[in-house]
This record gives sequence, C-alpha cells and structure tokens, in this order.
Amino acid sequence: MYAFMKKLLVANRGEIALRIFRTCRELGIQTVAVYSEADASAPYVRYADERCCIGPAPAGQSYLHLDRLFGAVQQTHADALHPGYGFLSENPLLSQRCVDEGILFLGPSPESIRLMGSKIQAKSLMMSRNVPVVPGETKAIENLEEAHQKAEKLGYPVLVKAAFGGGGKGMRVAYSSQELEHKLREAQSEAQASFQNGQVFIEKFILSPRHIEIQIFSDTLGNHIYLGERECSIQRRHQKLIEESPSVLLDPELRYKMGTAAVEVAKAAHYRGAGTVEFLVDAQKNFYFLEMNTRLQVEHPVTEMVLGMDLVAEQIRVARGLPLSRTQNEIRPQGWAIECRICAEEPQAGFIPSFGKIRAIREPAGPFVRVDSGICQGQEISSYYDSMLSKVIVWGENRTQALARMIRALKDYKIVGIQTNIPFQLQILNSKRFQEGKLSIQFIEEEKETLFQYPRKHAEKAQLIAMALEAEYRHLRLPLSPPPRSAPSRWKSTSF
Amino acid sequence: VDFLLKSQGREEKVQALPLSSGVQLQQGTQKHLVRFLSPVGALRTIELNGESFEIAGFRTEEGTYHLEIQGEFYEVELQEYYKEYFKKQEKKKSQNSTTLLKAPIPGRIVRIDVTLGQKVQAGQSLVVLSAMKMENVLSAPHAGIIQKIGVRLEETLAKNQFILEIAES
Repeated sequence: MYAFMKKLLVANRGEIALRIFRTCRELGIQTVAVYSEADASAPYVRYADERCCIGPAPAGQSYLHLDRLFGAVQQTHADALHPGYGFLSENPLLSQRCVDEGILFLGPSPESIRLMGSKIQAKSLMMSRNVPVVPGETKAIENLEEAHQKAEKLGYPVLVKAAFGGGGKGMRVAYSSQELEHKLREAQSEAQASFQNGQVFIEKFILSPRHIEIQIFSDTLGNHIYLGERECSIQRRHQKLIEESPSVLLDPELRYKMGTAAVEVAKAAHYRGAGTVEFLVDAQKNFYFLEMNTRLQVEHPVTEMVLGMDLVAEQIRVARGLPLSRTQNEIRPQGWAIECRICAEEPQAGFIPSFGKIRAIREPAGPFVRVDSGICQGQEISSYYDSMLSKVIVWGENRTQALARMIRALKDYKIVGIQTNIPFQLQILNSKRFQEGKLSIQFIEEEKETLFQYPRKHAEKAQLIAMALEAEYRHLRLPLSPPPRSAPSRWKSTSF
Repeated sequence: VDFLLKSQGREEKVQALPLSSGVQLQQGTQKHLVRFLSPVGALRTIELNGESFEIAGFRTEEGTYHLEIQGEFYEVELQEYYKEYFKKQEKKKSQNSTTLLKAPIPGRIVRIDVTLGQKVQAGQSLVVLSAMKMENVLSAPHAGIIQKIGVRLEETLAKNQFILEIAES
C-alpha cells in the first residue's frame, strides 16, 4: 500500500520553497507556503496554492517555531511536510512531530537525524564501519587545558568544530597554541548563537583538501544508491560558493570507493530519502568522512542536471513508500553541471551583507541555463535571513563548455539596488587556476591577491555614461520654461 | 552642465549637451556621443561612441550613480566643474586626519579589542560585530591612536552607527 500525498507544506522560505512547489505543481500536488511577516510578498508565497503567516520576522518566532508550523499544517490540512534546508531541516523534533501527527515527512526518521546530527556520534559510527574519518577524538571539549592537550597530540593546525553544527558556522582553525583559546571561544559562542548548543570538538586540520560529497538516496524497502559526486571546494569561511558535478579529481575507481563508502554510511544510519555524505579528499586521493547532511542540499541541482532526475520528485516517491525510480546501474551521469550561489553581499567590502530593495532584476536564460531564485523586483532584502538570493545552474557537454556558459549567464544576470557576489564569482570562474580545475577549500585564501583585483577597464566610460545620464535626468526634469498657467490640470478638472 | 572627468590622476572639464536621442559630451577638442537605445529605467542599453553597453544601475537621491558595466561595478560621484572649484579653495584651509569607524551592517558588539589611547597598526582587529549569526571582525584601515570609543560590549548597533575614532599617527 502506498500513501497518497495531496497537499504538501514547505517549512521553509525563498528559492528552495519555490523549487519544491514547482515539482509539486508538475505532479498535481497542492502546495502550502508558510511565511514570516517579512516575507509576505515573496515570490514563493505567491506561487503556492495556499499560504499561512506563522509569525514575525525573527526566525525563532516563525520558521523555527514548531507549534506555529504545525498550527499551519492543521489549518490547511496538509498531509505532507518538506523541511527544505537550514532552519528545522536537521532538527529531529520536526521529523518526530510529523510521525506523531501522522504527516508524511520528506526526510529521514528522527533517529537517523539525531545520529548524524551529533558529529561526534556519527564519527564513531563511521569508524566502527571502517569508513575513513579525519584524525581526532570524538569527544566534546570540556575545558581549555584539555583542548591544549588534544591539539598538541594531533599537531597544529587543528580545527575547532561545533558538535551540532552545519553550514560552516561555529568552525575555527587554530594554527598555534597561542591562537587556540581565542578560536575556541569564537567557535563556542558562534555555535551557541546558531545551534543553541556551544559544544565543540577538535580534529586535525587537513591542509588544502578538496570538499567532495556524494549524493545518496534510500527508500523504505532497503534500497540504497549513490548518485555521483559534487565538488564543493570553492568555499569562503566554510560557506560553499560554487559546486560542480562531476569532480575533476575523481576517476571511476575513486568514485566507486567513495560511493560505496557513502552507501555504507546510509545503511549504518538506517537512512530514508535524500542525503549527502561529505568527504575531505587530499592530494593523494585519500578521503575522510566529514559529516552527513540529512536533507536536500542547496547544491542538489547539479546532480539533477547531470542525471536528468528530479530529486524532489524522488523524495516524494520515497515518502509515499514507493521504491526508488532507478537502480544503481541506471545512474549514468552525462556532461558537466556547475552551480553558482548568488548572495546579497559586497565582496569588495569584506563580504558584508548587502541590504535594500531590489529596484530591477533580469535573470539569465537561454540554452541549458537554470535559475532557482526566490527574489523579484520590489522585494526588500532584510537582515533576518541568509544572504543567498538565488542559484544559477548550467549544463554543458564538458567542463569547458559549462564554464563558458556560466560566465555568459552571470554576465547576463542584472540585479539593481543591492550588491551581489556576481563580480566575485566571475573573478573565480575567469581565474586560470579554476579553469585548470586545481581546486581546494583554501582556493580563495590562496588566490586572494588575484581574485580581489577587480578589472576596472570601464572606469572612464562609467564616468562619461553617468554624465550623459545626469544630463538626461536634468533635461527631463527641469524643463527650460515652466508650463503655461492657463492649461488646467486634468486632475483638478475631474469632478466626482 | 559642466562636469569634471577624472582619469589617470588628471582632471578635465567635460561639457554635456542633451540631444534628441542622447547626449553629446565635449572634452577639450574630443567629442563623445552617447545614445540611449532604451527608455529611462534601471536596465538600459547605451551606446558610447558606437560601442553598445548594457547598463544596470540607478541614481541615488544624492545624485551618485551606481552603474554595472559588463560585470564591473562603479559608484560615480559626479563632480560639477564650478562646485569643485569652490570646494578646493575651502579644503586648502582645513585638514582632517581622523577616521570614524561606523557599523557597516546592523549587529551586536561581541568583542572590543582596543582601549582608549591605544596605538593600532593598519589591519589590526578593533571590534567584533555579530550579524546574521556570523562574527565580523572590523579592523583598522590605517595605523593610528584610538581617540574615542562609542560602544559597549553586547550593545546592538544600527547600520552606520558610530563605533570608534582613530587619529592618524
């Protein structure tokens, strides 16, 4: 017996909510958007069949508020819930609540989430299954003395990492014992602020590795498959900026090894649905389990593009109790896909978030270009949520073609009113080292001297154009002679 | 209108003359022709001396132009020839050598690394501002002495709120 799904509520906002709604519309499933007061006019809210306000702008009083979310579920009679990414997606209480209320949850069981949510527990489990892990003890740090001892034993540099973290928050690298105390404090306070849990642990910091992750999928009938890799080495402060599939580094043998290790992780966690197993890979092609993300990833579209497969539709299948639509042998990636995350920030000013109103927008289109966006003209970008606005995904027959296509698409992307990281993305894409595929998670740090050298070829032209625009502006607004007084205004002559 | 064009450290007077479908800019003996290929708006195609550009941008209330040209961003503060001339005369009289550090984004002060009267180096961390759950280190733009500190630990700041003042040493 397969469950029916009639109405799905997305407990999230922005581009991911819209992306999920689109698949639902294709499948004939009704959609419900929940929104905070700050998002009342957002595109995803308008796109949904029904909408429900769940509180004021701060996420703690809306998107993170379980009771209000389930109030919306009851009010709209939704029979399924998709958590998206971020917010409550990796909080076992959300999955548990769905079980308790008899709602289909598009994600794994609360037990799997709890297990993988604790980085420390997950690491020990992987060690017991012979999946390689980053050297370091799997125990939360209790005091400074203990931290010094552990760091000394591993050898600097070490990584201080939130035990219940994600998204790069609550992570700091200490290069020496002098730095350790300071970095420990920073990681703890950021972890506390972001995850309401200040526990951190220490592991060996692997120099210049690549971040490569494997997409896995499991159904409720015991089938587990891997859907190839995503190379996500281009990161800034542990936040991914560019993702691609496949990875330049992986050969079929390494892909098979990492894929089967990832499936091993899924089996160990009694996994269900879409998940991602993240690995660090060093120059010698050694790979280490980093963590498992028990949700749909931001960068899932690159996998969709090389496989021609809708991962949200697959999540819906699995949640209904249907078997996976493909077997491992039917997973045959084709060509090359790249994704760039477009964020409201000012790369020239230290990547500070950029707020304001979007005065005008024109998104790229054309062959093999996909834009997953959550913004529109007139929208106010506030400081309440993540700075990511949209994602541009392209497909090409090979990496060279995909890269040229991405550069074209980003140059076509026009957003007026707020600053974005598009110029910075173009700097990366145009750099020789990126084009050669010599990636590492230290890429931006190592290449900062060239990356931050923005071309200013048009400085003089910009001035001339501004002068022309100003001359036009004054010409249109300051007519040489005032309008004759005898002509009455049409507004005044209209009588009601 | 007459503007000042800045290029390679030099300043030159440019005279702007509105035409029917564009503007002619006279720079010395050189003439530039700007044609507007699309109506007034934030996204426009503009031709400069026969070369066409897609321009995304806007004019601020203060009259500053934010322009994006082929992926490059420019903030053009237009200078009118005569206003500049008078400003220069006044500038000669006074010299200002302190820098005011303001909050670039709204946030909360989670660390203050300096004290009043302390000497700082360029790039040295001054305060840590927590915003969007990320900790942002604000550092000294140049070497100097801390003259004034206007914030307290845990204080929540609005954008552009005064943080501290550094006097050039």
